[in-house]
Amino acid sequence: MKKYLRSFIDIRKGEVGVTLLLLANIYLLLVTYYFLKPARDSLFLAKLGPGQLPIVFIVIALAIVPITTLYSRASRALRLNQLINATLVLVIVSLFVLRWLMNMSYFWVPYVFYAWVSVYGVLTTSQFWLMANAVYDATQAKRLFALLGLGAIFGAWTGGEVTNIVVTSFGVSTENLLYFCVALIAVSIAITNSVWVLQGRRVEEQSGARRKRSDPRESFIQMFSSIRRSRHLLLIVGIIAITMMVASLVDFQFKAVSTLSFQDAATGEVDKAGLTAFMGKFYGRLSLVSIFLQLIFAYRFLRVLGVGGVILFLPLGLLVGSAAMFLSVSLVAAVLLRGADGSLKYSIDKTGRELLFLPVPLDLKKRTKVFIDMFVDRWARGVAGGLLLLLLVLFKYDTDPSQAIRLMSLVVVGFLAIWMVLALLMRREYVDTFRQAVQKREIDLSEVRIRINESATIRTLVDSLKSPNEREVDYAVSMLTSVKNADLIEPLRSLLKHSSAEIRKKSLAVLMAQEDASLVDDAKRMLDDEDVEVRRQAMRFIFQTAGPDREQTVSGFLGHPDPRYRCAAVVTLAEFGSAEDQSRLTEEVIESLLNAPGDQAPLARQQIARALGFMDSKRFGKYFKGLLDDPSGPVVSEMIASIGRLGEREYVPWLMKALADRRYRPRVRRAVAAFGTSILGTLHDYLIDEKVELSVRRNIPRVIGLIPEQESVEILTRSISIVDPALKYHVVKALNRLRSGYPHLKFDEQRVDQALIEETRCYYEIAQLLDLQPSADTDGSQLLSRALSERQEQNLERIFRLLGLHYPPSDIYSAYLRIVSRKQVYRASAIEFLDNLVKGDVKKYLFPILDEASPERVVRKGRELFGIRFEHKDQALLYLMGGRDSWLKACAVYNALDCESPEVIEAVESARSDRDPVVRQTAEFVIGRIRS
Amino acid sequence: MLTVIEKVIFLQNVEVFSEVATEQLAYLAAIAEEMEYANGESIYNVNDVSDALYLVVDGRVRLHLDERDIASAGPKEAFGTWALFDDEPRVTSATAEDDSRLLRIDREDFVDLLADHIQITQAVLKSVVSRLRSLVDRVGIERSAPEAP
Repeated sequence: MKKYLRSFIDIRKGEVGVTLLLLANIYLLLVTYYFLKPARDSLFLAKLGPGQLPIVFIVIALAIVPITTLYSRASRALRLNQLINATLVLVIVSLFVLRWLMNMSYFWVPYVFYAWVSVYGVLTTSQFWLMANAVYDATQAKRLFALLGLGAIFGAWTGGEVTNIVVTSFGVSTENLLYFCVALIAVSIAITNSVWVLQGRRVEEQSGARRKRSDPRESFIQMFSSIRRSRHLLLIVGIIAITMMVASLVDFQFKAVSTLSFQDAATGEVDKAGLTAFMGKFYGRLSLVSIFLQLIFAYRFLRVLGVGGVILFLPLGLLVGSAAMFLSVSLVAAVLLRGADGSLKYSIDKTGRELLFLPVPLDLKKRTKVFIDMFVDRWARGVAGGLLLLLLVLFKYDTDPSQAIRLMSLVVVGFLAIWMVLALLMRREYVDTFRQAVQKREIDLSEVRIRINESATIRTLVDSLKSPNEREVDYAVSMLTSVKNADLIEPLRSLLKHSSAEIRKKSLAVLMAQEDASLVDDAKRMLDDEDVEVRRQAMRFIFQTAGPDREQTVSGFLGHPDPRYRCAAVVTLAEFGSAEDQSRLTEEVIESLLNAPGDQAPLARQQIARALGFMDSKRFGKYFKGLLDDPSGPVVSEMIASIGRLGEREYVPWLMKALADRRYRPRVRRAVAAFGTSILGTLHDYLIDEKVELSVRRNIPRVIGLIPEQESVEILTRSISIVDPALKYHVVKALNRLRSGYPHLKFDEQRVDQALIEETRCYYEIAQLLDLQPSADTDGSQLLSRALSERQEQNLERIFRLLGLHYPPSDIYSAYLRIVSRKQVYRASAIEFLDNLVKGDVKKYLFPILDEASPERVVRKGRELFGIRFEHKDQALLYLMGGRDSWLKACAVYNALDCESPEVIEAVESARSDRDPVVRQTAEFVIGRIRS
Repeated sequence: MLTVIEKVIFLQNVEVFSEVATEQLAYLAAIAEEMEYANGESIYNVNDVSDALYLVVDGRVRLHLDERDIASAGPKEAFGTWALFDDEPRVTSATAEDDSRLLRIDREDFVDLLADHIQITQAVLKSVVSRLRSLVDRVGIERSAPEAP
């Protein structure tokens, strides 16, 4: 039981706060929805009667189009928290408006309210799951989504029951339920913002990456043709379309029968309060049945019957309900029918439906989901609305509603027959598609957020474990991570001898999830594995399954004579142990490993460097410096990562210096970026400090680019005009990375425009300097001309990179490639494109450059626009020698060999004390030659 | 002793560095070592390990197989270029014909430099690809040429 509960409530250190907030949020959102849903139904049915339901189904199908379009635009323009806040505030305002309209008794108000509640339900819950997906990674999602799902179901139950109580016992009118919702939604806004405070950065990164990956501009035809090519997807679409249509028909039958049951036979008036209370009670309890089915049966059925069997439950349940309705048009039959739909659809059937998408490649899956949400769902509901209208006339609903409802059951049964045929076809298709997907490794493991426990899926994966293809085995083991299934033990046990350490390690991890004590001996054998990570994984396994002897086991390994065992124990306890475990990691234990003799010594130090990253830095910080100065590179690398993890500011100067060292650079970048926004000020200081080595400064923009925050954009944008020309490119490149990776970040248009104009000024300036070069008569002037041309090319690239901060980066990049291509036709099309795209003052500076006019014309334009005026070569040399570009300065100094101007010679003299060694050396050489 | 700038002036003539920006050539210049060889002195022999590229600053170098001349390299010309990229032993011997001054770029230093300067790697790859492409084009043209009657 404890284990069973743990599968729902497995919240780990650091997850408690945010999980409780999310749990409270989904609970509240569902409570409000289940206040509104009964209110919507009873208000509509009491005022307009069930005969109008088909119209509202069609209205909803049509209303979704503009709403989805608006919402998708808003989601691209706003951050996720802004989007949720804006939606919820709009909900509160519209609730007040709707409540006011209800007093006005306009005939259309029930239609609007019905449609509004339907949209509210879809929008708020999908927003919630969007945020939850961004807050958790795939592993966390697998552990925690079940808990959030429970919160949702309890919310639905609470909402339904409370509606029933407040309407029947407290006499609250159905209309006034809206005020309760306003209060609860206000609390939900506060919770959303608290989640943002705790996890904002992570959500930004995830949703940014998500937005980056998605391309909303794919046309309907493209989407349709992708789906048409896959039989698997066609079947999914078919099943979902029929599900939606049947749901609409069944919903109508249920509501019609409910209305009849609460209608006064004499007056024909509907008992609104009674209907609201009934609906509340029904929806609330439906949720309880749903949770019961989900908890007790869903995964068991899935394990035994497989996905093909599970997707048959809903049509079979509906078949039973329809048969009951056909035999007796009563409230009991209606509850059975709608109950089967509501409870199975959100439990057993949902689990099966999620699995159907598992073998679909990620990209195609996303497009299909968009297609289903945007077209299939709406089309099916709209068609169902039309069909209902027809059936009402055909079955004479107005004259004999009961008979019409009875006959409608036959139509439903007809649809169910088609549904079941499709489900049977799907059953075969699923296994084939899944096998192919595993072989081709098409499933993105980072996106798998459901528990794989379906029999056919497991069988296919177990088959793949025997594959001679190492990558297929690795992929299959990765898919099985956190899957618990007794059938896995033997195949995985044989993989513990696999030649790949990665596969041995992953197999151990999956075996660990089986929590089978008989595997401990296997884990003990793995402690002698040649790979250090496999040894650590084995140690983790042993500690986890040690039971009451754990303390003794831990002591035994910490005092073991073999340093490899001690290392594995220390790292495991540091990384995954409790506070009590960590207290056993004493200085004595650490020092015994730091001073371990023999061949194992560097590896032991490396392990300790890793463990220190999870330990109390106040107590163990004394070992950091020694490990950073260690002669072994891997030890230093591991210590750098640990410092980044701990956020030890004391070591920032050391890290900055290490940025120049190729061996550690990638680790150092990540470690410094791990400090987050608090390090940005320091990074900026280093970036603009000319005393700091260029090789260090060159790496700083990239580090800033790894911190995807608005402050990073501000700092980089500010730096463009301050930094050395040699660094400008790196600064703009880091901005480009932020722009394309995190589209929500804002770029100061004015500053970017200024930088753009400054870049064009440099371009014109170089054009004039080039114009003054004699026709390459000496080696020196040839070199200077080439260096200037290269600078001009880099200049043009920077111009386009800056344009990419304003306009869509991919469009600008393709325009750049066309501009630099040698084909005139490409250039012309790019200029035409940019002419339409680029706005504002920048155009007048930019287009003379792009037009590929003669060099003389560019020179003239430079004079016109910026007043640049170099009259002769000596003046150009003096200008370059006084500039900040060290390479051009060195080339200019070398050109002074052919020059007799006293000012130029004087400039060469002063270049002898330049901070750049190449400039100094060249100046010494030139002066020496002139004197001799 | 050549200055960095002078070395750059020489290096820009090496075909494989033709796409490398002059500023980046200055980094290559920093690892280019100046060597002097007397007339008739051997620079390397056939089947020696290929470990460096050479560039003639002054003098002339004879490339030969035993006594048979294969080619010769004069000022601003490079030889042994592919030693930077493959492990095959030398296919010719190189001997100074006059008193010669050469620039030598060691393969290990070169690889280290590439690891530090991605722009140099890109430029070197670009020129290798362009050479490959022109070879492919030439083969294509030769194959499509009509056979002699």
